[in-house]
Amino acid sequence: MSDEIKALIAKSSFSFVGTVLHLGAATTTDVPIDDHTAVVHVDHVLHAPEAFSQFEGQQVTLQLSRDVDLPTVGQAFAFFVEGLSFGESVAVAEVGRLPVETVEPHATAAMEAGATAGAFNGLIGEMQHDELRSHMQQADAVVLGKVVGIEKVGPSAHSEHDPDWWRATLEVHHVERGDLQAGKVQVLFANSTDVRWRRAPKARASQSGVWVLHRTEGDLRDLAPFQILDPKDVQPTQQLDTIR
Amino acid sequence: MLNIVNMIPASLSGESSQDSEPNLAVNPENTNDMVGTAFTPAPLGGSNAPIYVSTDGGSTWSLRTVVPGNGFVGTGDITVAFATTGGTLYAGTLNGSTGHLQILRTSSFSSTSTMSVLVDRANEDQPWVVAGSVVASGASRDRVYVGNNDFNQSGGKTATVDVSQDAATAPAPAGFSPIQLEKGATTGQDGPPVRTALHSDGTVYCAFQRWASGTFPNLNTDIVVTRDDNWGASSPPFSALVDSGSSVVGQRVATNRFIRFNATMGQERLGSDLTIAVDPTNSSTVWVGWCDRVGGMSGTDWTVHVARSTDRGQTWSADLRTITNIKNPALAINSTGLLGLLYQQFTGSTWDTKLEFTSNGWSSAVTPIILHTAPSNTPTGAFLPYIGDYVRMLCVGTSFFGVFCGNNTPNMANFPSGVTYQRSADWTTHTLLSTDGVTVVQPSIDPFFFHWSELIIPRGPIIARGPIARGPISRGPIARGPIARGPISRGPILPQPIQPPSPIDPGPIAPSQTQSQVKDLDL
Repeated sequence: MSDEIKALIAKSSFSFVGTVLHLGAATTTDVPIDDHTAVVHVDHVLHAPEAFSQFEGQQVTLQLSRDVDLPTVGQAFAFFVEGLSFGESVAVAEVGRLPVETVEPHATAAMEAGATAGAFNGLIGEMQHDELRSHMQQADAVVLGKVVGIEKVGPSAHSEHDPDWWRATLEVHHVERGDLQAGKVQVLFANSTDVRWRRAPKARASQSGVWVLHRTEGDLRDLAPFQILDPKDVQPTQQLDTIR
Repeated sequence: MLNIVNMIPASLSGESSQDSEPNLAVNPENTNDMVGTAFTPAPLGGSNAPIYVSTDGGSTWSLRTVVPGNGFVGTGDITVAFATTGGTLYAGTLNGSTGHLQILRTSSFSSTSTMSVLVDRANEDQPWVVAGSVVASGASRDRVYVGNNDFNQSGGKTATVDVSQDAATAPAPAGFSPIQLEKGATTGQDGPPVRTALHSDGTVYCAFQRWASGTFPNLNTDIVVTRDDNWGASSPPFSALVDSGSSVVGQRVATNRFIRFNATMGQERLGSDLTIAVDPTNSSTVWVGWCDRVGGMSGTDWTVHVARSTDRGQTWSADLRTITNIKNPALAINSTGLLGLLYQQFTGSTWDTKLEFTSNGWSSAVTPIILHTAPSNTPTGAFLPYIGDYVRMLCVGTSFFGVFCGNNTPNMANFPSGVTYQRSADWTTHTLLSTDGVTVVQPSIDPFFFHWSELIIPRGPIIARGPIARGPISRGPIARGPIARGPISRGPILPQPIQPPSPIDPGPIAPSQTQSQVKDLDL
């Protein structure tokens, strides 16, 4: 069952135990209403972005999936949804549902731990772990190393969204995977704080950790053989166990 | 009359994102219909970024996730425009996932369906959409112009406008093709902003920032205006203005103006401020505003200049208005010829968003209206741009509509002209509250909409009312009935009759009272 929940979490960033209050009705005029439109009371938030973690007690408009049977008024399910519109109230579309009993153990444990909207924290942690492991396995190299040099390089064109390429020299102590040797290796990183690059990792002097390296392409190959752009490309040393 | 509205809806009261760099489209056929944009992440994730939609003239807003590409702040750069007739909405974006320029279209601006992609091209910056409509061959044609900085252009001449003469219904690319505006020499590229002003007689002006000399980031720039007298369809297009000095296509409004690209002011970056507006009553009169550093290499200022041409862009006045340490100038002219200038001024401790009007080119002094003033160090910037690389103001008839971004702390002292919040806030403690009406939300950057109309002309001083004291909004469960859908809801498919809406009774403070922060100008 955990796999089934994980599959739904992967398709949805908001889930809740909800009771169907009305069918063919809505809390908003933002979406068209048909027989698959329902007003649902949010009894308990299972997982949600921070801004929705206090949504318990609200009523939402739920566009029910046409792939499963319509619920009846008064029925409660664990609904997994994606967003449609956000005004005075929220309209969401169902991407899946489970019987309440399925999620109760998770919800109960989270409540006992005082984790608001944290019913699936454990499962989400496992999913993030799997995602990181997959990310590392798909990289061209994974190394343990320390930044021993940083310099600005390129570019030839300028905009507000320029990545502001810098090159870090890593002293590699250990090659976990990939076709390179211990010693020095050069890595490009986007030092810009522009909206487009803000989440790209920024190498800093003497920074140590696990570096998840990806080969550069095109003109960037002239600047360095590797680059780091994904937020997951720099990890604490202990994360090396993730791919072992 | 002036109304200012925080555009974050009530259901997103828990958000604290840096929703910067706003844009706005108003449907000329029905000014109740509007679309706004900002760097707003999709509230529940997914593959699309949101737009803000209003169907009541900007009084309330809701989000639809309809823009392809959803990065960590939603889409990249985005601007929007309605056609003059027919209600088709166009958007120019830098896709939030790929960074590509995309030109988008929807015939139903309030739909939850994903907008259609008409153009997708890499290596671009800052698409800026302007749209109009004209009857040609017996049918209405949407003329759409998307200014952009196209690094795919040859010779370092990157200032570009994508034009379609009939964009409303044709399949992709719907007639869009790029036109290279820059004809002069550059340092290797032009600056990011390419702005367009469209007149109903078919006159189209484009303004851009030529990087004429210097070494990045210290650049000497020219402000250049080009013109086309037939909707951008002349042959060759946008060649109606030839510089009186260099004989190069495109008249220079100002030359050798120093900028330090990506210099900072407060927590914001600088470098690409440009605006253009054509007088709807006379297409020969066109205004341009831009920012540069008057103090040159050793200076610290960022100064807006506004100049006017009355001969279709061939000759230009000296500066008719200069203001120091501002960014995001936006010019617009209404149907009576009244010129509005919107801008955001850095005082050293606050960002002040101001609006001023002139009917005589600032021959007489003006008193700016302060729309917003708030500490510039709150919140701490999460990324650049902090409040945005641009704002937008436009006119329909006599009305001015605009958007800006700023610190959303609910303090009436920050809004001398009044404001309406949809999101939960305690105005006594100056605290934002989440959807539960209890959990405190940290201040962030929000988009604000305003509507100014000269139907009622302010004559007296603006007397700010005191803060409206009220406690936390105790929303709790929203105690109201569903919105019945009418005849369809009574069909046999329903397991039980739909209840008619019950009276809204949300508790101590009714939702309508969340709108109660509006303060009209005292007249």
